[in-house]
Amino acid sequence: MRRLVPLVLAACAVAGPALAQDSAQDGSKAVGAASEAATLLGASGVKTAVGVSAVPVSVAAGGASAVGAAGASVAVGGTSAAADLSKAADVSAKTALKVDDDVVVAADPAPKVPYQPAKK
Amino acid sequence: MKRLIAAILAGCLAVAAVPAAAQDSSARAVAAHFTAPEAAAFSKQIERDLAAKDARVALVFRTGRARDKLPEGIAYTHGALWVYRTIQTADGRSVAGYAVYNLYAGDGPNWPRTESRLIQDYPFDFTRGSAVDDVAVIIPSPEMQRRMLAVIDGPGYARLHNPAYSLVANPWSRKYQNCNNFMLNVVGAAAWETDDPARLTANFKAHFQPTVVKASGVMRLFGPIADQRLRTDDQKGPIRTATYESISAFMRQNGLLQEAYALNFRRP
Repeated sequence: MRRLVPLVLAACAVAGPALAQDSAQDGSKAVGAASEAATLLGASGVKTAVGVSAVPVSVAAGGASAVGAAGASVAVGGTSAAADLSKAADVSAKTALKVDDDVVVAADPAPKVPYQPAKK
Repeated sequence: MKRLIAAILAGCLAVAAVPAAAQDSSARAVAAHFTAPEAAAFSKQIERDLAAKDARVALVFRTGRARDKLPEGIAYTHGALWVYRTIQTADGRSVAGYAVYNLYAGDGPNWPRTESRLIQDYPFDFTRGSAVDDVAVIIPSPEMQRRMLAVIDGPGYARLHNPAYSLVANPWSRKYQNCNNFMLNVVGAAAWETDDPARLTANFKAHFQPTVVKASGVMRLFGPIADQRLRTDDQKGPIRTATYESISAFMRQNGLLQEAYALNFRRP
C-alpha cells in the first residue's frame, strides 16, 4: 500500500495528457454514434438494420401476434417467457443457430433521462 | 491510507479539471482501433463463432485499452452477456443474431459516473469499443445456458443489479458493482438458483477467488481515467475484482463451463 501513494501521485502528474488521448476523443464521437455508424457502414456496402427490440427466439417463433404479448411479459420479467426459453433451448439445440448478415445498429444512442449535475 | 489515496486522486482531478475520458464500460464507447466496417466484420465473426458452438448465452470480454497499459493478470476491461435472439428491426423484419446485455457506468452528462444501468445493445456496439484485435469468450455449459436465460428473462435479472458503481468493485462485497461483477452475479444466480444478493455474496466469498490487482496495476489501468468511479472502500487488504480470468477459472473449477477461449479478428 505504501507504494501506491507515490504511484497515485505519479498518475496524477500525467493525468491531464493521458486524458487527452484516444478515449477522450472517442467519447465525444460517441454522441450520435448510431446514425454515424449506420452511415459509415452503409457507405462501405455493409448491410445494416436498425434494431428496435430483441426478443427470445421461442417468442418470435410463436408468430407476429405473440411477439407483442410475450415481449411485454419479458419486459416485466415474466417467468413464463423464461420457461418458454428453456423449452426452446431444448428443442432447437438440435439445429444449428443461424446468424443473418445484417449488422444491427441500435436505434437509440443512449437513454435519455433528465439529469443535471449539481452546480457548485 | 485508502482515504488518503482517494483524497489525493480527488485533489489531482480537481486541480487538473480535465474532462473525463470515455470509460470502457460507458455506453457507446468507441475506440479508434477498428474502422466501422472492421468492427462490423469482427462482430459478425464473433456471432458466427458463438452460433457454431450452439451458444445461446455467452460471456464476452473486450479491452478498451491497449494491452501494454493493462496490469498483470488482466487482459480485458469490459464484459457483457451475448444472448441469441430474434431482433425486430425498424423496417419490420426479423433478424437472427445476438443481442448484448451490458452494465454500463454513467458518462457524467447523461447520468452520474458512479451509477450504472443495465442496457441492451448489439454486437457492433461491443466491438467498436475494442482497442485490440481479440475478445475473450466464456460459453457456459448447456445446462448453465438454460438457467442463465431464465435469469436474464426473469425478474431476478434486475434484482441482481446494484447501481452503485466502482471500477474495481469487490465481488466479496455488495457495496459496489461493475460489469464483470454483475455477470458473475448472473452466473451465481443460475448456479445456486437464487437471486438473493446476500446469499450470492456469501457464496462468492466462500467459492469465488477474485483477481487480485497489484497496486501498481490499479494505477496503470485506471490512473489516466481516475475519477470518482475509482472507489475502494469496499476492499479490505488487496484490491480484488472479477475478471475474465477469475470468472472462467471459477466456472471451469465448478463444472459450469463448456468452453473459454480468446478469439482473434480475421482481417480480410
